[in-house]
Amino acid sequence: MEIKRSTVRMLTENKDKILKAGKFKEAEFNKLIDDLSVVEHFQKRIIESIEEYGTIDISRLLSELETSEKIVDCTLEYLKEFGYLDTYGELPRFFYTEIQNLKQYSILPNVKIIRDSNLCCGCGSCVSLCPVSAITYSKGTFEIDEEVCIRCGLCYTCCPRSFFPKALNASEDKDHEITTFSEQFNFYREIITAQTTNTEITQVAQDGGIVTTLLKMAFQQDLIDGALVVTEGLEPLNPLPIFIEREEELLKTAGTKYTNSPILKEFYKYRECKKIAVVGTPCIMKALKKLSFYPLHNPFYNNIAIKIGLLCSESFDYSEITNLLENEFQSTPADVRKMDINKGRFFIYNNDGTVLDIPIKKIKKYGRLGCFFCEDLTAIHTDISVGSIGSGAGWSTVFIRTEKGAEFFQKALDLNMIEKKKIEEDSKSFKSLSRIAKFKLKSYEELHRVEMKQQDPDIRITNFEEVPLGLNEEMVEIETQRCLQCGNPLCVSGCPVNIKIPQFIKLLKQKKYIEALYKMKADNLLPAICGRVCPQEIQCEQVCIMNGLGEPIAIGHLERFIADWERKNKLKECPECAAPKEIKVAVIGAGPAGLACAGELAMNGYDVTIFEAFHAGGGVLIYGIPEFRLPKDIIKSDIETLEMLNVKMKYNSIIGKILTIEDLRDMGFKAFFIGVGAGLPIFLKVPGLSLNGVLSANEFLTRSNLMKAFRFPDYDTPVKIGKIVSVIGGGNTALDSARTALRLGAEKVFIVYRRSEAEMPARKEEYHHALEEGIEFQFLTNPVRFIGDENDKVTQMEVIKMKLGEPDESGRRRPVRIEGSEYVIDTDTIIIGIGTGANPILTKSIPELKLNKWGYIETDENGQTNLEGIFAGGDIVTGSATVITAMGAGKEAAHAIDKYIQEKYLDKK
Amino acid sequence: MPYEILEKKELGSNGIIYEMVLRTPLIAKKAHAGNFILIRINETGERIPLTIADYDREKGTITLVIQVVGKSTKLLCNQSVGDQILDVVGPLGNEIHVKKYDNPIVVIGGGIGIAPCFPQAKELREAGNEIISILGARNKNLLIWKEKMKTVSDELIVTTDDGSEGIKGVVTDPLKQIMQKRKISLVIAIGPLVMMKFVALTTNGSGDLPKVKTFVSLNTIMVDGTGMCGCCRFSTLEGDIQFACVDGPDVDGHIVDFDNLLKRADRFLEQERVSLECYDDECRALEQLKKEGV
Repeated sequence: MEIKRSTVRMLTENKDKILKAGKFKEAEFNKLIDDLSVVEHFQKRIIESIEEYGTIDISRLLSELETSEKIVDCTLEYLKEFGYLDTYGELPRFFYTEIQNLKQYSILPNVKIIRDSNLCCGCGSCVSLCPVSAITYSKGTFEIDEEVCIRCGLCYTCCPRSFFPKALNASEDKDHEITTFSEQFNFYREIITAQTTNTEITQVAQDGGIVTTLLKMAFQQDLIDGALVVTEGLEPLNPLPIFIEREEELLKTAGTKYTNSPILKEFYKYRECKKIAVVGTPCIMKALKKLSFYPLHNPFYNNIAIKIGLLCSESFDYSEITNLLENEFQSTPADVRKMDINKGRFFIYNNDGTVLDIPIKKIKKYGRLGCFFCEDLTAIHTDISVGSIGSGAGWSTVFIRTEKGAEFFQKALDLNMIEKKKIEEDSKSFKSLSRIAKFKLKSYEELHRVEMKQQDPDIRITNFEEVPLGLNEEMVEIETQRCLQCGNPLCVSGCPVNIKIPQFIKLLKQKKYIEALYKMKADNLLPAICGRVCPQEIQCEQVCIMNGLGEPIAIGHLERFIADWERKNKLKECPECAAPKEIKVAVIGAGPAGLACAGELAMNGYDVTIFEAFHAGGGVLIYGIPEFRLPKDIIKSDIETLEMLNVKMKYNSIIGKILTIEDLRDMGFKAFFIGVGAGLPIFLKVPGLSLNGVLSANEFLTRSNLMKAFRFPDYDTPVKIGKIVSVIGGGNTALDSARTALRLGAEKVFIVYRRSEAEMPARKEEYHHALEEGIEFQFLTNPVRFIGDENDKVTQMEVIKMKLGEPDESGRRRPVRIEGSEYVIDTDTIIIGIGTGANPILTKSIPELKLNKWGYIETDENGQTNLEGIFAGGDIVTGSATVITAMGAGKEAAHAIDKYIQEKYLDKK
Repeated sequence: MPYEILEKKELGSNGIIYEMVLRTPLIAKKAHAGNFILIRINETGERIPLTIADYDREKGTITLVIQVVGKSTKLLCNQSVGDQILDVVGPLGNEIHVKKYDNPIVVIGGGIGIAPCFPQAKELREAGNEIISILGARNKNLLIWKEKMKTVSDELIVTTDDGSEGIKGVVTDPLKQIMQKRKISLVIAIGPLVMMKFVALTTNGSGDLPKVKTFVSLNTIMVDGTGMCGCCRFSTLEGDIQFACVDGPDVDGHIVDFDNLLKRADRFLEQERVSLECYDDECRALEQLKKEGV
């Protein structure tokens, strides 16, 4: 695989622009390119290694690449984030390239997405790092000049809120012996309580005045030559970052500021200093940590002498602090001298000497949204962290985390600038520190996505009931709270039918279910189906910004919830249709593409008739997907919704046979949508194909699903299942067949797939379900011939082992036979599910229709075929793809049909 | 949309063969010799293929001839005039190629295979061909549509296994005699697989007789009838796969691997038996209830 989204490439191409911007000197630039090239080479090697061996083998990588586990971990995380690996750490599936491209162009280039998602912590590291100065700090966050941006991705990589490899949480302390670890405080050497001995500092500083004292000591002892801190700004309570180079300036920086401050935004200016102390909140320290891992610390961040962290549970935008003071205290920033949090209450000390307080709970709503997504109270990525909570009045709690932190603190002690006490771990104050830290960590971890309950594997293999059981209202409430309501929601662009997902989730969160349903149905009339069978993990959920913080929002589950809720309450909500246009449109095929197209046309006021070959609508949904994945009642109900929109269903109508397109034209149809799917089973070319016991997955599934053979003899259609069933193929169809066979009573079911696990096109979720149910997988194995007995009944299958060779046109590596590795497997039923082709039954009846060499219909991007008024979409255009892709194509074509008719028939009228 | 049974009569006198006329205006409009339909009698029914034995475009009807062999055919034959069939799909399969041949055409029908011979003989004769029909049956009581076939044949020969009507013997006997005497352009054989197999063996040029192009009509087990499932597939003697539903049902008899097809035809025997037994039990129970006046 090629590293397509290369930071090095983007930087190199824009070298002139970067040098002109003036942040980087040429030598510095060259050094950065050199360092990044090494990193990108490293990334490439990791991908190659995964491609070669199929999975991530950490120990092999370590020995091959001669590096540390931490670097491998971080690189893997980076590769996942940038879409080279999927969330399972595996190579993305071949047909997801479209989504990959989407991700490539919208998520990676810059941190706009972080801001739009309300995740920005305002640290300013992106502002400082941007090599072309496209990012400017503004009102607690930043602006990006997209014209100037060169899409190098540096800002996104350095952002503490994009992705954060777990490996970076490890201790940096050289002396592991004396390091303690606790869940809520991470790694530290010592926690103590301390206060300054300098009365001048006590007067202005918060609590124990430790930070100011440490800086004073460090200046005096020449341990630092500069300190990056915060000072009062022009307006009261709206602090500014300040870089001081002299001890004398220190006093004006003391005291806690509750408003966040982008202290890293001008870091590049301090390169002349060799020993800088940085004082900041946990998010700022997290940013520095990230900068230190990827070679972004060059050339600006090499000069940090000490990182002093401030305990922080949340900060406020200046505008919000104003609101807070006004709403809760009827005060203004100008009146306030100092603020403090103590014993669960928020205090303000006014200039007139009055002290007011309210419970902390009341101030939460003024906090920055992004702070809600922070797990760190005690600034774990520092040398030393300081805060008031945990100690008595006038004292500070100090976490000494590293050797350097210990050294600084000891020096201050030795110079009698600080006095310390043992921390009282039993004190109420310390306990509450511990509790809040734990709470913050936990509430962050509780951002885990909701897990849908499932039928137990042992039970479900004996029935055809649905496997996942859906969400309840409580689960929906929790899950919807996780949604960030991004301003630029990637999920919408990740959805083939562009459902307005954030608005939908917001309505769910407010328990406005009817409104949520309308919002959903405005873009997707078939949520019950899509909520179940869409591969959300490679569509809306793959691009969800929450991936960076852990797990994406369970959009599919929520979609299913609202559809189930509708059915449970026996509602049939449909959006308002446009006034009838009295123009007839024919939709051929009642599969996903046809249903979506018909729905969209009906909403636009067309008189739509769907012609379906089978006696029931749904297409692959009804004949292909088993009951336990998609209950057939649901399809029926969704089709009833269409009928409510006056869509007419004509079953048993094979267009091309009973009626031709010409007949339909004579009947007054003005436009046609062909969505007949890819219903032609591909059989393997091996001897023994016509033995009894060998059948296509299409036949097997149609018998069981459409014809309900699983209820034989109550239903007349039989299906025969042996004891040992082998299914050939690695897609959803193969998995559906295998799981159906198991439920029909097969003793053993195994899947034979010629590539490896990583290339399997089946949905991951279904693969895991199959594993849980006891389906066995024989990867890199391909049938050579089927062997039968004297009655032409299959008894065995000869297979050959395969290995992966060069990539083919699909981007997947071509399986190659390992000669001489043949062996024989006993089996009495062989189901072939290796794919489908274009069924020519309709296309043959329209000889002028332009097809490609595989028999699929050629269309433009709107679904227009070479014939006037005839549109097509879904598998008959693309070949086998997903349900929602077909629905997207149906919807697109409906718009094109509308446009065609508006122009041709309505303007004339 | 429901498809009404307009006429029903028993053929022969064994109570197992029936002729039915269905109202299917759209299908009747498009039907041609060689086409078949799939029917699903009721909600729990299976889809079974039946060849269109006759059609009337004006009346909007098609004619089917059904022999009771399993549950579905029995259920169908138990329907009465005025009853409605839930689903009828068609016309499916390829229609026969109708043209004027130089020499006579031999049309061979065996058992209820005689019925689908009728439209083929009719259309080919209307195109100016000389039709020699050979009808075969096990006995006189199972011989159907003799008079009807006469109306579309220039010559008609009957064979029965037991000699109860016409020549005692099998259809290949008169076929061989004809082929020895006359030059034949085409043979069409519709009937049991074994019959079609032997007709194909007679005309494939392997023996003393000349090779004659032979079409056989394959009535295999089907599900969708549109080439989607491959249930109806058959193997050629060269080992290739073809689908009866979309490549046929009329195919070159010389390429078909009949031995394999004979075995394939039996693959659901066990289930067919179970299904029929269940149905018979059900019928008996209903009968009982009726007697008891419930």
